[in-house]
Amino acid sequence: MPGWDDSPDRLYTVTRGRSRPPEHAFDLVTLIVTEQEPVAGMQSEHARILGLCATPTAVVEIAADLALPVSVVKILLGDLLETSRITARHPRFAPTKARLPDLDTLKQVLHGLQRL
Amino acid sequence: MDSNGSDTAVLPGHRAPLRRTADNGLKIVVVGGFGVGKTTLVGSVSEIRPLNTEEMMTKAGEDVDDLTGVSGKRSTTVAFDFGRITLDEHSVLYLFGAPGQERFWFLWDRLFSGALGAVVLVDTRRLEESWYAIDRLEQHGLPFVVARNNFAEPGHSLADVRAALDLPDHVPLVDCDARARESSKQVLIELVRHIQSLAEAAAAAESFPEVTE
Amino acid sequence: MRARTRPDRAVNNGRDSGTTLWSTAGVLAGLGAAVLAVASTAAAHRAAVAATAGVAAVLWCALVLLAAKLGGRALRAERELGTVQHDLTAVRAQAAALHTDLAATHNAAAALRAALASAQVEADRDRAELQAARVELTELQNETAALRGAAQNAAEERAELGRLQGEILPEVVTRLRAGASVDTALAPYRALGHARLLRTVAEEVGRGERQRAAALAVCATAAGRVQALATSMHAELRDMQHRHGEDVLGDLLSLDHSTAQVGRMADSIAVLTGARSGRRWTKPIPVESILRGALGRIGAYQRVRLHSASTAAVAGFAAEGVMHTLAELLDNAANFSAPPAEVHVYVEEVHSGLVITVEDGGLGLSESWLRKAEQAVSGKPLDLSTLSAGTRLGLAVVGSLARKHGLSISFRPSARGGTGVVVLIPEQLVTHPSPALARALVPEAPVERPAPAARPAIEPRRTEAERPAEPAGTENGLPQRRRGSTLPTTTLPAPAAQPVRPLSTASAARFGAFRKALQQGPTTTDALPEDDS
Repeated sequence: MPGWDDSPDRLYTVTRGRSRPPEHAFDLVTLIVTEQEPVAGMQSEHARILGLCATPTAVVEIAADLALPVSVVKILLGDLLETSRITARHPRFAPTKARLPDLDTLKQVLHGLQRL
Repeated sequence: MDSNGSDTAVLPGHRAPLRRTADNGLKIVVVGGFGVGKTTLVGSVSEIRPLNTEEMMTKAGEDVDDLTGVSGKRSTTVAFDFGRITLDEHSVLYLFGAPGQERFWFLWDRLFSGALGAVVLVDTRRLEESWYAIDRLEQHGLPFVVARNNFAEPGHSLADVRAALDLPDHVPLVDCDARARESSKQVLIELVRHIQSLAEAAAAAESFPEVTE
Repeated sequence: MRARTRPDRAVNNGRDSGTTLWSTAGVLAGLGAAVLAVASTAAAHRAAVAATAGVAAVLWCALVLLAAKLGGRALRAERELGTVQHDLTAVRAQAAALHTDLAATHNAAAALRAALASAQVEADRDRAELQAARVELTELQNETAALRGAAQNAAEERAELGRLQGEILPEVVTRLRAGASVDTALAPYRALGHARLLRTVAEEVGRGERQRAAALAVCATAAGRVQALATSMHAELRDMQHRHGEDVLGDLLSLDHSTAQVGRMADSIAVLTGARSGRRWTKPIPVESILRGALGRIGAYQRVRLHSASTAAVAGFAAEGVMHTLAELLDNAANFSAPPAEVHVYVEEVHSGLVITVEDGGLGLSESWLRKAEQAVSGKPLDLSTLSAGTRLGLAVVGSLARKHGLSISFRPSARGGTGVVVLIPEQLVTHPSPALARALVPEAPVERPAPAARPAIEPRRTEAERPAEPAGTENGLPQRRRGSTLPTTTLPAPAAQPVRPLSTASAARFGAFRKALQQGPTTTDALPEDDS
């Protein structure tokens, strides 16, 4: 793919004027999975996302691969989610200030790291 | 300066896809001052070459005729870079390296949100560059450890560093070599253990309200 | 007079005492009287008087001599004398009468002389007047001759001027407008009668042409500057859009959109002034990007719907012109369809190139408007003086670009009720991706960016404002941190060690934006104390 800055596209044309992703729909590490193949005539970014997410891919990875800001990617993902072309696997653990991760999760992480 | 020499062989095109069963993304943030070795640490433990938004930034305008030279050379700005560690069938840990400069705090808040914890990477030659990050983390209440990245033989004891940083005793402070996978891994393990102890203490506090951290 | 009295006195004084004495005295007196008479007379009548006087004197002398000779016969003589005296008296009377006549004659002569003199003066005056009249007449004759000649010349020249006006001047002006030098433009007409006139006009037109060219050049330069600024603003905005979160993304996108429209304005001025286009693309631009690049430059881009499954691309050198063309047509279409009517864009790959159809949801345009519009975009050389504001300007830009890139553009009533504009991008400007790349555009598998050279991540250059203040040192040489000292807060007492950060205007503005974002979205972070910096 050509570098983003080689393109005459402006982001507001990519989002069709939208600048706010759907509320709380996606975290940076929400894993996206394609449910329907891209079709001809589809916006190229949508098609590329569907291509990328044949295997689970984090929102932040999609943003890096498309060279688009995370917010823009979230808007595009919102379109695809709305039309059920993708599913989103949200992080199970979403701690707040008052809440620490549960011990099971931490144990999993610890084991995973130790296996590295 | 960060060094990613070991990553040259890992082409992004060959980036291993996640397992189809992956369904749980987790985050750890690595923050630190300019050139302290964040990207190096992320890269040394990541299963993918750290991805960031920097490459495309430097491409900006390359193919554009400069009409009058008004634009000049633009500075490049990294939003953040990140690496990935597959923990098991379901869980994937993402490591985010966040620039330490104050003007990126808005980014940290985005990254901190939902993160397990943070590693503050410090360089004793420029210790003051970590102050802002530590202040933010303390304010945010996100669990963190401090890792001293030793490019050379340390000239100060960890106790000196702890005192200089005014770190509470319960906040772990460790030495590391960000270039070394094992060392970086140990820093992450130290962080998770720290969070574990905090979580255990919190759980205990719930059971025995008089016991507080 | 005296001549007349003296003889009287001589007679009275001595008739008895001595005739001789008396005679002598009488002769002398007569002579003297004669002489006196002669002398006292005007030169002109001297002859007459002298004659008269001479006669009188001779008579006188004879009488005296006779009286003296006859002495004794005085008595007789006295008688004779009486006679003579009587005669003398007669003669004297005659002389007096003569004299009177003489005087009269003299007077008459004087009067005559005066009359003659005045007559002469008058004659002289008349002669001078006559001379003047004659000169005048000559002059008039000359003038008349000249006029007659001029009239003849004018008649001849009128024909030549007719040709000059009808053929030569327009031709010369056309050549000058086309950029020819005065000498070049005049070359075929050197032998012409009005070469000088022609040259004067040509030089004047040439000067005007140069001034026009200079004015255009100024506009073109200004447009180029704006284009460059817009391009650099776009790059900076793109940068910021990547760096900043969704809190400011909307504002950045809106600025981006405004910048694109400013850029299009500058591009239009550049086209109309014959300057170059704003950007050049070094690689083919896919149709989707061409369309989005075009609609991003118009105000009502959100009412434009793209329908394209084409994987074709437009050659880089023509991409900017095609986008600009489409932007102007889309803008027209959006202006003709009042909100919320949509503008639809269809892309069709045909063997002769790429057909892009823009259909608006307006009421449709009159046949005459369509004809005018087609005329405007027909690709004829642009004449700025025929332009008016508004849509005509846009169509003039389209026409200019169409000519440059060989686009053919036609207008027709749309099946949707409005107006359809059909743009054919000729095949030589269209590239088709290889089958592999075409698949990549609708990818089966992740398409990765080309591997960037492995290099250390470049972190932002640290600015002066971000450098922590000179820290207070500990005993072991490490700087001493004081908790919370780096946070801009009012809840924490501002410590002495609080670094005073001279905020640059830019970073101050950024800070303002952050604060604003914070106030708007307190859920995104923990409530932060107010910023007092």
